[in-house]
Amino acid sequence: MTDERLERELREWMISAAPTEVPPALAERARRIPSSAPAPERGWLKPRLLAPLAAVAAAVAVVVFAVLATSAVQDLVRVLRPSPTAPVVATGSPVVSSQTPVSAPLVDDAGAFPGGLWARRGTAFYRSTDGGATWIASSIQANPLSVFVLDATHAWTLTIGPGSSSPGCGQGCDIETLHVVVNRTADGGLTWQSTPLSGDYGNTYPVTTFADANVGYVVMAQQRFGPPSTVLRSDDGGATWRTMSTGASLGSLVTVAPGGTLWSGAGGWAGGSGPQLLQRSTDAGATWWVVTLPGLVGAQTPGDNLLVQPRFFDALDGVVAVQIESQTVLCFRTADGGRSWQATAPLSNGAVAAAIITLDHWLAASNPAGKLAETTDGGATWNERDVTALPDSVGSLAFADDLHGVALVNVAPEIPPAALYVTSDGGQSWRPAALAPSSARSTSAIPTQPPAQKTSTWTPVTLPHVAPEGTPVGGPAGGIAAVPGGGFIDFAIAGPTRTIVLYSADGLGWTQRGEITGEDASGVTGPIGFNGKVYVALGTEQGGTNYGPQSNGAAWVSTDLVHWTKAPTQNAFGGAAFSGIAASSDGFVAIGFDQGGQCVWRSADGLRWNVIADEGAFPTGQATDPTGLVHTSRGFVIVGHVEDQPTSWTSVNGETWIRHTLPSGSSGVNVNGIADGPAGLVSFAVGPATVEVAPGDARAPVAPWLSSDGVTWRSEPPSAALFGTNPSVVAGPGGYVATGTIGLDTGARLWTSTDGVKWIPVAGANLAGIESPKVVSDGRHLLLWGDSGNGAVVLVSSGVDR
Amino acid sequence: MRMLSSGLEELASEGVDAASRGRSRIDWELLVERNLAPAYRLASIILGDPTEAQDVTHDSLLRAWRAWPTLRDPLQADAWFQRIVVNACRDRLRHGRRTIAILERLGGDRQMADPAGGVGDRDAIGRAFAVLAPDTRVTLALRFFADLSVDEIAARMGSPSGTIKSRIHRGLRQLRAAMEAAGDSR
Repeated sequence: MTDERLERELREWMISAAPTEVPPALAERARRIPSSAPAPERGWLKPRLLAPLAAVAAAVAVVVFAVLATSAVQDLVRVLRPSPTAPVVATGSPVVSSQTPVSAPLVDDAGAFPGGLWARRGTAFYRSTDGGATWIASSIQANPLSVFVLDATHAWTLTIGPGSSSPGCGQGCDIETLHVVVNRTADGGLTWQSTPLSGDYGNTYPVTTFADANVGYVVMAQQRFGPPSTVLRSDDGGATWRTMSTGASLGSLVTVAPGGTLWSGAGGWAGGSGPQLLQRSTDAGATWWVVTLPGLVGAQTPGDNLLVQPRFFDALDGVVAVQIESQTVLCFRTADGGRSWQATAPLSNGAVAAAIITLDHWLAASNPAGKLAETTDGGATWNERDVTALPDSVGSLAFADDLHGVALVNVAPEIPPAALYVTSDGGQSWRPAALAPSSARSTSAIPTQPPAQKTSTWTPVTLPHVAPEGTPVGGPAGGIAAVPGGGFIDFAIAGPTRTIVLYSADGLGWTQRGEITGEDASGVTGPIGFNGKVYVALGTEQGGTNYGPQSNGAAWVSTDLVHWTKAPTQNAFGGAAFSGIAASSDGFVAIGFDQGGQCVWRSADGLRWNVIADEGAFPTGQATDPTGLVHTSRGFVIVGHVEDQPTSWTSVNGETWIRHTLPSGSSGVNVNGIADGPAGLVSFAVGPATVEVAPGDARAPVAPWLSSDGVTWRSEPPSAALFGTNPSVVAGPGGYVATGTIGLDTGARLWTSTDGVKWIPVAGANLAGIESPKVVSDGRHLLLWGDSGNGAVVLVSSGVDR
Repeated sequence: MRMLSSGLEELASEGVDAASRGRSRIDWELLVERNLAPAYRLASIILGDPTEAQDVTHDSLLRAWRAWPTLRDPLQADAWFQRIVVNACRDRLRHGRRTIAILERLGGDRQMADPAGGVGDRDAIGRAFAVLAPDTRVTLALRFFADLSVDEIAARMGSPSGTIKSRIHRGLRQLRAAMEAAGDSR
């Protein structure tokens, strides 16, 4: 079977095998996502104050142990408790259900965020982005008063600061002197930064919520007999805070709706009048307005509390769930941003926990367990579902999406820890969460990008337009190539049989140097090698458009960059596609691949080539992928892989090669390119493990590998700056430059290093909108180019600042 | 669009960035309109199971919606979403949640008339494709079904271009071997 027929058969099979139409059910589910999926801007928190209570006792280190061990604890619990979960069992003795909830791991707190679940046990913090199948552990500094998890990387905690005290913690009192510290992480809990808030917030209950990675609030919710609330806002991710208001009486269930409206709901406390049931602020917490829910005249009613935080799915659509006298749950919907509310069907099953999963899909748990009430029509009707393996005494529910959620099951009445259960089928069945060991694992590292610095200066360049189609840079599969010895060259297609050769000595000024004609002229793309006498430009026959196994390799040679001669068609070029070339005084070496699994070629003059057929070095029966080639003073060096094993190859003459297996334990690492610079040979080892830092965004660590001879390699720790990138590296004046993209962002990024080990993001280079970035260097200049969507963008630099 | 505007005007009076919210919602709807069918078809090819593809497509849309505010460049939305779909398919394949159902379907009504007598070959291709390594399947589907260039595939999969090229090459070699083996056995 010919290559052409194989490709045609494959395309035809794919077309025939693919469904012709989108199933209506999928189309409908897709249509409903914006109005039914959890709001994209933020996560939510199901706070449990009992762990903070333990934190209070531990952190302030006052003589309250005896008090805490008595019934006073229960009093205080009821005072502090933000969620109005009614006491299920009023005794102080632990209750273990017949379904043995202690078989599940015990945690102090748990919740969900869009795309994931989280839990906390002491100072161990767990995240799961696969629906609870696996959990990643990291650490927090101390038992927090409040936790807010925005996504897989961003979280905030409030902890008790130095100088706090609780001299007599009886009923009605909290921490009399309370200094609050805001702790923030942007790398999944690997590192935390802390900011103490100025002021004493004694006898309040601090909670925090964030709208996004930058804008967030701390609300000092009012406690019984405590002072009025203070609202603070941060616009820089929690680094700095400013007071927005004092004097309001706010509840502890706070949230920011998409669009910025700040909401406060009363979580309730034992006896007396608390904050208004529901309040909102449209000016960042400066002023507050009481929201009246229909039928609940006099919202400040003891016994009426919100069951969970208000949930908003966009700026208009939201839901609040109100527990009335611990028996009936009444949910209200708004479709106008909270100006008006409509009551839905009451649920009178004594629900103690609820989850507002989407705009229409809500769950409520009552005790004893075994059943969940569910509505999928936005509260018009409720149905009771039998569920399996969910023990008694459900304390809280939280869902990341329609399917994946967590439930906390009280082991002892209202005293943490609680047993953590997860579901992957929307609450139909539950299983104990399989948390990782409590010790934090460093493999969970999601490093923070170091700050960008102006380590190099990049100047935009406009190349002359020579092509009728307006393609200013490169052939179809090529681009600008550095000319060894100095300067840059660009092969610009001027027609089907004519390619213009543009040359620049410094990357800034470009002139036409020559042209290549003939039926394969559009296939010349570079890269270029130069051995001091002859320039060799590689490319493909038959146009060289992208990849086509029917294409052959091709080469053109020149002694002056003006006149070019095409190498004759030869067996060595059969099905070849070249990706790199290097030259010594004796000749040239090229890397790539061909139909037979060959991947290295050599030529003395650039016109006649032979395949390096060395099964020991380059086994054709295995996946042998060279990814980088250089020529050093010791000879040629190639890096790449044989199957999953990182490998290097060295050769003095380009004919005889020695294969070296790179550091043990590195199987699966993707060795990406090579550069020979001031600190020697540098390559990047990507992976093998990945971390899903955000929905659909799996990133891998990138470790610089250094070598002086291409034989022995030293693996440096993964670079924080390069985490999640797929970088390529070149050596240039002053050091090394890497370019690539981060995560799902297709925009170009740039990093520099003077030693190949420490990499710094580059500030000042305007890379906005550039895709598929590439960098080349002629030894005197660096040149970056990429696709802006409206043509190529070219930037030139004189080198890396030392 | 008109329905959205009335609510947004009210919100504007409260300082809500109505324009950006509305634009975001509308852009999202356009993204879905453009990409739903291609994503579903691509996932079906990669996974070999339309039911599984429905799940992955819906899951990808959910993931995209949640990450929608983080998308910096709306002009790159299609590529960004396709990358999410590809990642979701790779995850699904790697976790081996479902076996390939396409083998059963190949004998059914999806056979096409082929003047060159290619139905048998196409069946063999389908069977061979179904047992390729996950990343090889994804790569071939992006190249020959989605018609992406090597650089575009590299960007979608986060792999070097050279790896993509060799993966295409190896995948085709494996397919050819399977085709020839099927031909020998007939």
